[in-house]
Amino acid sequence: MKNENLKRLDEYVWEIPKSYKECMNVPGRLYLSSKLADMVEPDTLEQVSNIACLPGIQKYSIAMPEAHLGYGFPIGGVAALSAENGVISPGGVGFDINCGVRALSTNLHIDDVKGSTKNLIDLLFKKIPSGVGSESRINLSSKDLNKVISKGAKWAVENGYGREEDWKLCEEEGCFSEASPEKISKKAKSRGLPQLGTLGSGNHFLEVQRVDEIYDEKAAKTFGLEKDMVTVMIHTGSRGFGHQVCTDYVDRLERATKKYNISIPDKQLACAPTGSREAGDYFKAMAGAANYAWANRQVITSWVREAFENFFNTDVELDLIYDVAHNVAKKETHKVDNKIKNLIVHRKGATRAFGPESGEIPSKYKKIGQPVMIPGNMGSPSYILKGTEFAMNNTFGSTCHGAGRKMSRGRAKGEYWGGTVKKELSKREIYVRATHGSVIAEEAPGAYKDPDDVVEVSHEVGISEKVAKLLPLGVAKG
Amino acid sequence: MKQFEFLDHTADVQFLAYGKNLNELFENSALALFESMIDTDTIESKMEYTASVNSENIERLLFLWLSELVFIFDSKKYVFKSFNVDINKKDEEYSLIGKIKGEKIDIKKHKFNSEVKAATYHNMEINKNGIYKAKVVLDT
Repeated sequence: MKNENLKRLDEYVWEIPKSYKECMNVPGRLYLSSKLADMVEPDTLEQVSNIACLPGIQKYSIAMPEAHLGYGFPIGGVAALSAENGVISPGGVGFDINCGVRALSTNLHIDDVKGSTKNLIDLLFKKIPSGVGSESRINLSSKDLNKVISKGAKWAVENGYGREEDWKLCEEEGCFSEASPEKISKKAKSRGLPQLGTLGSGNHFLEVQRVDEIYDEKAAKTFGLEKDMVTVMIHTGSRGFGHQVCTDYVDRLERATKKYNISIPDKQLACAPTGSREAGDYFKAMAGAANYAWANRQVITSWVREAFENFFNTDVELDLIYDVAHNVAKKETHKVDNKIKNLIVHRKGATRAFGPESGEIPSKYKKIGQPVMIPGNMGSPSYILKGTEFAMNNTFGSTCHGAGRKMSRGRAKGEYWGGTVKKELSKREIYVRATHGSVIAEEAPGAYKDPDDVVEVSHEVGISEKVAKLLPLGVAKG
Repeated sequence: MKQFEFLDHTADVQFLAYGKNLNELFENSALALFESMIDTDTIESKMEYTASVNSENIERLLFLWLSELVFIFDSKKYVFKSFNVDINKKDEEYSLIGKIKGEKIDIKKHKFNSEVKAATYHNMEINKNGIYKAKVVLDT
């Protein structure tokens, strides 16, 4: 698709008309600035229009400010499909089911870590297995794994990895109750057994950060943030376990698409009608993988707390602010044409951003809105935002999830050298520890869009509002 | 004839594999999968493993073959450099037996790029115009 098919409706609101493609049931809607619109690849727009062809899609096929090329769905894609006559698509969640982010506040001031960031990151890197081929320090039995699948973050807390309040501060309280171990293959389980409590590779990270700027004092106070506080951010998902669950169900639903005579413009959008056995089984399996991811981030949190205590030789308070999923499908109710509808909201590289008074968020955040964590790229800022009423009315309560790449990994490696990137970051007093240099080159800040632009558009449009800006002090990567 | 080439894709890896016949196309697709993660010249053929998949159509056969290799890589922690594929068609069903050679991952020796999470069906194309070509997107 050429970008001239993208019509500007407002400063930050763009549309792909329904007439662009015959199969479109609704228009495409993108939230972009002029600068971000110029960066969107034509194939991304094609992907947004493909999603508009899914049966039962409501209002629009939505793309967030970071919209970029994915597979099937674009990254930054949101689609709300009718729970009565719509479909569920594993491609709308992605392979890394419940890839997500959590942020922890601390009682440390930046002066407390001055000069010791490197040693702290080295300790965290040692304590939390990361990178290709890394294996967990937990010896999980098959029986335990089934409990992880069923109970999510709660399993971790019950087994000594964290505190009671932790799981209550996760989206969905860290557990989809529909999860079913029986719907998950032996293959997925064999990949899941040795990987609980591992960070993975690619853009996943563990970062020690500092609060650089507060935009909303009241919300920051409620979230437990203040200027110059040290914070920790964990970005990872369901590891090989989730990847295998998705692979198994893309294959199964690809056949279901034919069985139910559903016409789709891309095979990766394989789907099954809500209410069908295939859709139900996928949802139960996806829910299990999402629970695994919440347990994974919870176990890692517990090891981060241990590392801080060992390092500072005293009790350090590391309190979970919130934990969000940015690759997931959820059963939600939203108002569509003044009617409350039951929907399956697919968020692929998009974050739930429920506004104040929403029933789904912890009581202590009810007046403010749900905390939203937007991870930066290595060396660039991360943000904490809050969900809004505007998001509830316009994006099915969704906002952006991160900056998104603008350069392929291959090109990034051609343009950057890991050693130079590391040195440049160290001049800015950011220490990076990775398994080796090419990971740093692939993830070089210049390979990504500027997260400031993406967050600014989200804030200006009102699909979430800025609360605090966090800058990295040190990063551990796979 | 080239074995494969990588095409630019913003977030993931896309490759175009070539083959004089289906067997070679699947062998070169497997090589592209591992080459996207690691310089396969650094892998030694220390052990042999057999993988097999079946499907009623050739695109699904490729999806299942690459998915099986990702599964073996991630669950057994093996990397492979050499692939010998034998595809047979009987009663409208393709069956593939792959003999693959490689070794256990050794982090000191094997320098990885981003690991492949999965093979996808996105814009998958297999066609024959003199030679076979397959276009595949991998999620990284």
